[in-house]
Amino acid sequence: MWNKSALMLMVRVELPNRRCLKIPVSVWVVDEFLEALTDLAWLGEMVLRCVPIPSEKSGSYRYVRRIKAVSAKGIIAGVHNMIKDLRKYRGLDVVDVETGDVKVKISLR
Amino acid sequence: MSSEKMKILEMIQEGKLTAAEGMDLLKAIEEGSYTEEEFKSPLQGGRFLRVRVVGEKTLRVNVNVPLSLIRSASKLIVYALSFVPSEKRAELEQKGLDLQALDVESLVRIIEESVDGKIVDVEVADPLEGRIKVEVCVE
Repeated sequence: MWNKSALMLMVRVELPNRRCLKIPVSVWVVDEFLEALTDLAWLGEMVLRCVPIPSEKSGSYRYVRRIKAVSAKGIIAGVHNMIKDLRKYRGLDVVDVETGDVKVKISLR
Repeated sequence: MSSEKMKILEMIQEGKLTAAEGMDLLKAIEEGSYTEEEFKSPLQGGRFLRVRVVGEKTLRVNVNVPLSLIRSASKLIVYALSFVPSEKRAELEQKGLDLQALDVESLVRIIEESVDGKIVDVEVADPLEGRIKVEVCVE
């Protein structure tokens, strides 16, 4: 497992005074995390189904309705598909922004 | 020699990969850490939506998004649009943009199937940055 060359999403932010922030995000870890989260999301959806919708006069009515309308499993599946797609693009510079002293670069390495 | 290895050597010869990058890829293939699906350079295959903004002074924006990624993100965009507050939705509707009628998935499909080349090519004058050139293209 550890000797495999992992695909990383590198976020690099260069700030004034030569400060540089590098955030490596392992695509494999995110993938595994989402895989594990899928079952939890399914459980969450089941629990949410049991939560009654409050009356329209209640302040939480809109929020509860909105939360119930969204499928967490669907969102996770969408992100999971994106991650799968990202795997095909090793070496790609997704975002490269330079303005004044600030530079932001997001790439797949 | 496998087709993947040949492809890497060709890409080094054409200058699309550096020798060091090529070595890494060859090593990864030998170790079996790459599947054929994963072995795909961003320079070959696949179409991209590219956004370039270049200012006269310091501004430089370069965004490259694979169309296949936009396709898989389109469902998420639909979800995200459902979270737009109703007041903002009404505000946009007054400006002629009906978010409910926006079919993101079809839009992505149309871009994928029929758009090729530049979609936007604009040059504007900015008091701070001078001339700013904005280009959006699919290639």
